[in-house]
Amino acid sequence: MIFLAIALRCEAAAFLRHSDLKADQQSLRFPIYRGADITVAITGVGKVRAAMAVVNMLRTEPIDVLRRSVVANIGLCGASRGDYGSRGDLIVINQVIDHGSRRRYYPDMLLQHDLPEAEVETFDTPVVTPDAIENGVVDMEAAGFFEAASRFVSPDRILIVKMISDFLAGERVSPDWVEQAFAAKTEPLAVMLRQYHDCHRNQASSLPGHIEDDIRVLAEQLRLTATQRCELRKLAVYFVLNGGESIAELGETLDLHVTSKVASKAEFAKLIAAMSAFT
Amino acid sequence: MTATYLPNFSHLYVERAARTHPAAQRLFERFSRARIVAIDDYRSVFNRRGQAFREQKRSVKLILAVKQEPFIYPGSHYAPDFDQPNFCYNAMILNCIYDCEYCYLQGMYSSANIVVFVNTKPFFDAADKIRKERGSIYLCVSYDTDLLAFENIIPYCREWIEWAVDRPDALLEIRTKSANFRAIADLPAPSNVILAWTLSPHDVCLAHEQRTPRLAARLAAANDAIQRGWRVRLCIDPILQIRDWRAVYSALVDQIFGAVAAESVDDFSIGVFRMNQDYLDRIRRSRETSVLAHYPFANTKKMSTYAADVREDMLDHVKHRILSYAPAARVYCH
Ligand code: SF4
Repeated sequence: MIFLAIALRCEAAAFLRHSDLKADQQSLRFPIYRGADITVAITGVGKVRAAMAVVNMLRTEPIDVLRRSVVANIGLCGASRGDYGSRGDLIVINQVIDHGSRRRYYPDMLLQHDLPEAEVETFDTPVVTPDAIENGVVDMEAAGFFEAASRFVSPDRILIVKMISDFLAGERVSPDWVEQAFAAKTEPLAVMLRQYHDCHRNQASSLPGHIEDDIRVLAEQLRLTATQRCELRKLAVYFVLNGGESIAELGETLDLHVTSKVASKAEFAKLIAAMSAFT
Repeated sequence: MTATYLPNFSHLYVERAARTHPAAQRLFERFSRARIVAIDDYRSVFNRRGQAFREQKRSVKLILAVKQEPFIYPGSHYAPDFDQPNFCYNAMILNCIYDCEYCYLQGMYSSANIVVFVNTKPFFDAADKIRKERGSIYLCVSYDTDLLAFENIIPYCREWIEWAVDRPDALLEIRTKSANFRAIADLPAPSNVILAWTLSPHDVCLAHEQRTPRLAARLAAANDAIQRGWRVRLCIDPILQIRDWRAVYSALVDQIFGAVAAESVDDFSIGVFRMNQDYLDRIRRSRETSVLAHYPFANTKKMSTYAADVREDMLDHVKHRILSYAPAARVYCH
């Protein structure tokens, strides 16, 4: 799944059309648009809003989904210098600085891309003085976005792409210009997001479903404690990797009608020994 | 259309305070096309929570930093001291360019990126201080990394060897899996520097020691060093419970002594897999499909290793095989 956090509707409009996303009617306070494998949150301006919207978007997603997902922030920025590009050009962010707290955040830069890179400094108010920063670009969301996103996914799955809207001289930017500028970049952005997503596909679980079932059934029958279940699950990985196919079969040699803790412990030890010996 | 991973060292994360050090300048030249990301403190990149070690291994970055104290550590009980007093180690580089499946660094560090400390002088000063205070030092400089593998990038082995030359009260060990002896082959061989090669069966190199040179290449490098008068230690550590391990490790010992004259080797070091239990748990989470990592090890005092009888059996077997070539006094078991 690709999760996008975008501050303004005009920044997101072209993307919503491109991917044919539909408004989630259940999420009224935090606007969210969903498609088959893309979800977009319109966060509003500012790092606190960005953080809240990201938490709202990701908090109910199962861990298995998050492990196969990319979480990205796309939006406007002001550039300190012309050598990052012109208005409407895209930049990949390799460092985020929270202007207020001076905290720094680092998305992992693992994949090839052909855009310039820069650090972004997140301010609480619009920046209209060219010497506010020495290097890089400024925005109002990235630090909050990263802080929230990194609670859910590892930094190799976090991507921040900014579009230059101004050079910190108080230039005005109209919603129409924003919408058109993003429309011109929607296709390359979509390709980039798809590439990140495909590279980061991960196996959700190392255990096949029937082995998980065996563990659950045996754990109930033998009345295993949480610690024992955990030990059994760890060993099951070794068992499966060594070609083991059924824990239930091993369980057939056990007395599964345990009536005491001592008996449970003894049968559990037998099961562990049988699985360990499996090479 | 899938994206490709950036090459290793596509980015250098550079502490502001590290920028002007000669070692940093050298790395800027070496990686002149790398993107530089200026940072305040290496720990804000290296120690981040929730990093994906396996994913980062696909495109490793360099972090250039200025180390603060301590610059030297007492030897760990996981590592052998070879009956040497004042056993210490240091770490001028954190992490390794190789990717061994059983490497404890994956459990110890939250990042796969490589930290290079560029302020070298305090490391040498710290070693000198212990040497003078205690009368000697046995210093391992290639723990928590493979320093010789890194020699073409930053020549820290060379600096340590040159340091050792006029310090007869220091004994240096440089442990490696690399075949990169040629990077230091021009140096005269000091009598107080031991080059220690870790050797594994050919199939183990292939299957479990990704990116390392093959056994034959390591043996050739060790042999080259011996021919040039260097002191060489050979280590079979960790010995692993793989299928047919007896035959596999017997063949390894035979192959070693087919390539290297036993009497020309300083000593032999053997040990079975052992690791801090917490590190192993982390490795198991990141290497979900590793048979090696998921082996049902026994745990004692936070150390995971093979059950005592299995461990004894493995050590005995390999030791006896070595004893048919070399005297017991030169074989150390751990
Ligand atoms: S060579 Fe040593 S330090 Fe490097 S990955 Fe292998 S075990 Fe780890």
